[in-house]
Amino acid sequence: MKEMTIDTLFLHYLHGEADDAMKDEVRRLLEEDPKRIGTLWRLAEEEEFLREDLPQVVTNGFAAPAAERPRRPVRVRRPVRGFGWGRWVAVAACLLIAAGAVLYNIRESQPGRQVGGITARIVAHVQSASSGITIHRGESGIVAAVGVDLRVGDRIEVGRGGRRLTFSYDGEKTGISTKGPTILTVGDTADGKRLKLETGKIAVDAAPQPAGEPLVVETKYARVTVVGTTFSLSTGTASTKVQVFDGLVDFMSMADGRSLRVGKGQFAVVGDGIPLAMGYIGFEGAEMVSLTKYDIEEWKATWEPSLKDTNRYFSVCDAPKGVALTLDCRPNGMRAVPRLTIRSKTPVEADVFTLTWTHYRTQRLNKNNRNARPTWRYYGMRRDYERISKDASGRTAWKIKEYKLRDGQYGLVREDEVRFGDKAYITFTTDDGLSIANVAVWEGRERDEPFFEKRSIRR
Amino acid sequence: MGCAEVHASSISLSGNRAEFYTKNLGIDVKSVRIPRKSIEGRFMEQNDHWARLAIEQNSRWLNAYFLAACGDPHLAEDLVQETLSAAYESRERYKPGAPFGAWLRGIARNLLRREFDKKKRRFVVVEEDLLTRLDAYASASEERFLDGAYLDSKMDALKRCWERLGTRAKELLSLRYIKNLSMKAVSEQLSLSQAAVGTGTFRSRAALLDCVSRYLSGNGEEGQ
Repeated sequence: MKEMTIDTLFLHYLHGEADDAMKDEVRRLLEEDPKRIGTLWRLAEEEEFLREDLPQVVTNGFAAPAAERPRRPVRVRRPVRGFGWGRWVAVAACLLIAAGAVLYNIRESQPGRQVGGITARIVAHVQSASSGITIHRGESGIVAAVGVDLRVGDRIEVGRGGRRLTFSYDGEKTGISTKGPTILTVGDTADGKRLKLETGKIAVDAAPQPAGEPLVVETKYARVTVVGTTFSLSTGTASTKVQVFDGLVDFMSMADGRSLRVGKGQFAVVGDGIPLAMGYIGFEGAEMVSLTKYDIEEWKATWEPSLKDTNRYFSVCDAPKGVALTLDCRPNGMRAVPRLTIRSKTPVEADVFTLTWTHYRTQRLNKNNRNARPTWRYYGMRRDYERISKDASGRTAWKIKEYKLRDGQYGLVREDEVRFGDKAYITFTTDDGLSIANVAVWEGRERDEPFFEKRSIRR
Repeated sequence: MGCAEVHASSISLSGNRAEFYTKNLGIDVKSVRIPRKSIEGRFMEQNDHWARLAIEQNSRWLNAYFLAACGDPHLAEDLVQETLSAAYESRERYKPGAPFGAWLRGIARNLLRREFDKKKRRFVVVEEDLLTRLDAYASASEERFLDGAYLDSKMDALKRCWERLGTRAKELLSLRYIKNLSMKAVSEQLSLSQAAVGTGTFRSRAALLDCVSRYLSGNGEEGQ
């Protein structure tokens, strides 16, 4: 009955007759169980089918009985105009193909070219390869080169020296690159593509995979399940780490079967003595990510008890160049916010950026009159930050370089009097002036855990 | 097989659009089944009509994609047209051999985001996770349309099942899907409450689609 109710609600929504409350309910249902998107898709597909095809059936657009319509394919042939040069080209092409096939068969019939007596299926081809990379197939080894096919069961061994191999799966855009010394086994099953990373690091750019057939990469410590995304996976003797640059992956610990969903800009790690954990990737060695406002999420601060604040949000607004974050908060009490350090959530290439508080407020004027009703004064202020450190995971911290009041009152307000204002536009600007990144605000001292907890996007 | 030797496949164009391509390509697109891969292979050619055809044959699943995301049939149609137009204009960016549907879905997703951003519409599916799932379903649907017989069989089944439907059910579905009347307009025309129309339409729709799926699974005759 409940499912019927959901179907009916979804149908109202698909008919364009849902009001805001119904849309909110649809959204809530999908957030509650994302698998319901399957139901929504089925109904949408059915709606499309009925809208498009029912009129044809009913209004005689289907005049000819189905059984009488031609089932055999119709061929449109070009008229033959003599035995021209084109035919000779075709004959030559056929001969070349035949010769190629013979050579191929000879090559394949050599010892070691078969796996278990049956030639394994070709699933991918090498796109680029540096020297000294070996593909182990059965008992033989093949030197990797551009165009060499990869078959199920092939074991790729990339030696030391940072050599690199790139291959892509046939029929789709999924590309895999090894980075440095790596041992990787290629697999493919009815349930989707399989890769086994024994050691080393790979970067995966996965095209959307067929429904129910995800790409799965396994290591000794973890299993990464992906439906279409970009990420890198590295595994060593003690741990496995995944960094996701786009999309989502499921990262499962092989030890206890626990699983984490790792999103864009995040990493997860697990290993011997290392519990399953996730965090945000830094830009050391990572690719630059150009973010749009949809990549920026809202955060809620969990301040330390002395600074507990119940209403701090990041939301998104338009900025002259790209996007910016808006910090909306109302500080409680008189306690000053200590020196701030800001860390990137995702890769940022800027060494210096500017944090502009369009307004911040102070009770400075009332300090000497405790009986007076507090009066907020608003100032605009600009702070310039500079990079001070990177931690082990590559995350970067900046510190305040200098700050200025908007109206030229440089240095008038002491830093320990600065509070969060109503709005703060936090904008990272790179040399091209367009790359903006998400940030999380940290207090001055180093911490191991993110300061904010994630919230849903507020629209 | 050369590209001119067209045979077998899936394309569903109707009315003026079919006539347009028939006239400009010299092939009766309603009777000659054109392999989708052949069309996509000609996507980068100078012949604009092939390019348009390559894009347009994906409109079915694109429509469902946008409909699921925004819940507005009219907006969904507009977005499909925008996607097709954007794909046509940026066709030099398409890399031959790359998955064509995935490329279109990328454009569709960007349009969806832009629409959400600019017009602040209350779209339901804009979260990355949900869009990714939607992409997967759209991809599977696209694959089904690759089978040339898929749409034919479905139309066959629809015709047979429609004939078996009761008068009231036919009336409700006709008003809903052929005359495109709103629930309120249908209830006024039939002098029924909106709830009764809603329930009746839902049941009629379910009966029709259930019958179609029985036919497609080969149990159509037995099921009746």
